[in-house]
Amino acid sequence: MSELYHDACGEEGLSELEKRIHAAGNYVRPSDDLRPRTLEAARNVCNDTMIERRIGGFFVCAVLMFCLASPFVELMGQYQTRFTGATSGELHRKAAELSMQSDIGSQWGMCEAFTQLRQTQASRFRMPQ
Amino acid sequence: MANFETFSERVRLHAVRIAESSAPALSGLYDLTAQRLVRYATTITRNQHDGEDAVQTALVRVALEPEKLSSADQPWGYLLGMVRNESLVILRRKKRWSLVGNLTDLLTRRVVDAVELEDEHRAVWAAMRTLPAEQSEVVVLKIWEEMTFAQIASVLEITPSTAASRYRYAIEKLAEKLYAGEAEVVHE
Repeated sequence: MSELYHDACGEEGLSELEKRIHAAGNYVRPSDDLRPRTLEAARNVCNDTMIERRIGGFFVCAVLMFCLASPFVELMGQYQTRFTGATSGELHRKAAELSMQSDIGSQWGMCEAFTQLRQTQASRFRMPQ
Repeated sequence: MANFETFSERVRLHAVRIAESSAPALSGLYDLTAQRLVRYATTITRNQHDGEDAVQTALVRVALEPEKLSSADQPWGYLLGMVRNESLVILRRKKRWSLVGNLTDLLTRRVVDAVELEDEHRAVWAAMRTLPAEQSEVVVLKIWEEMTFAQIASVLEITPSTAASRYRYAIEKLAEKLYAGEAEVVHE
């Protein structure tokens, strides 16, 4: 065995062996289905990644929108109480109270109740809480 | 040296194209490198089907992140490294089962009137399969990829002297296998 190696691995033998190995390099070729298989797998993975990125982007946008919108909604909630006027029942009750206190007719009582309501609303708009 | 670097630049060009137009441009890189990558991966995994799986996985990774390949110092070396890693993952997984000793998995180029030549090639591949993976891959890179020991060292992340000694051991064993086989034939 050792002699065989020395014969082969002399300067010339080594070169011959390398040539022999080199010649066998192109003996193996990829199977015919490897190309379409690889390209399809790459296309699928790229599409999946793109969809995942889009979904991720959508969620990031949704979270950002929520973060930006929530203080605005809160502010609107505060303003909503200012916009909310008295109900007709409250106005009638107030008109009755005023007409009894001031001994005026019910129509003037209603007029006074409306005047007070307008003043209250105007003061709310002037001084936000 | 020039061959390696020229080829590296061609690989870089294809990686840039993939970065520009995504997966469809992978076909160019496949056509350029598949045969060499399959040959390398098959040597490590000792099975062509596993080698092809390793190549497919590596190329799909390239399609996902082509910038890594295009920005590498030596894209061809980087791609070989990717295929090597995938091959080693498969090899580790397969070590639980016994590795196939014959060449039935190989899909080969058959040349008319070259039966003797084919026998010789099969003998070389069979001898290569008897080597440990770390030695056979050095032979592939040195002889088939025509890389220097410094380039091999950078791909395998070892020192050039280690690459050289692995190559020497591999050649010794290959010489023993190939020439001993011939001697047996002569004695018969």
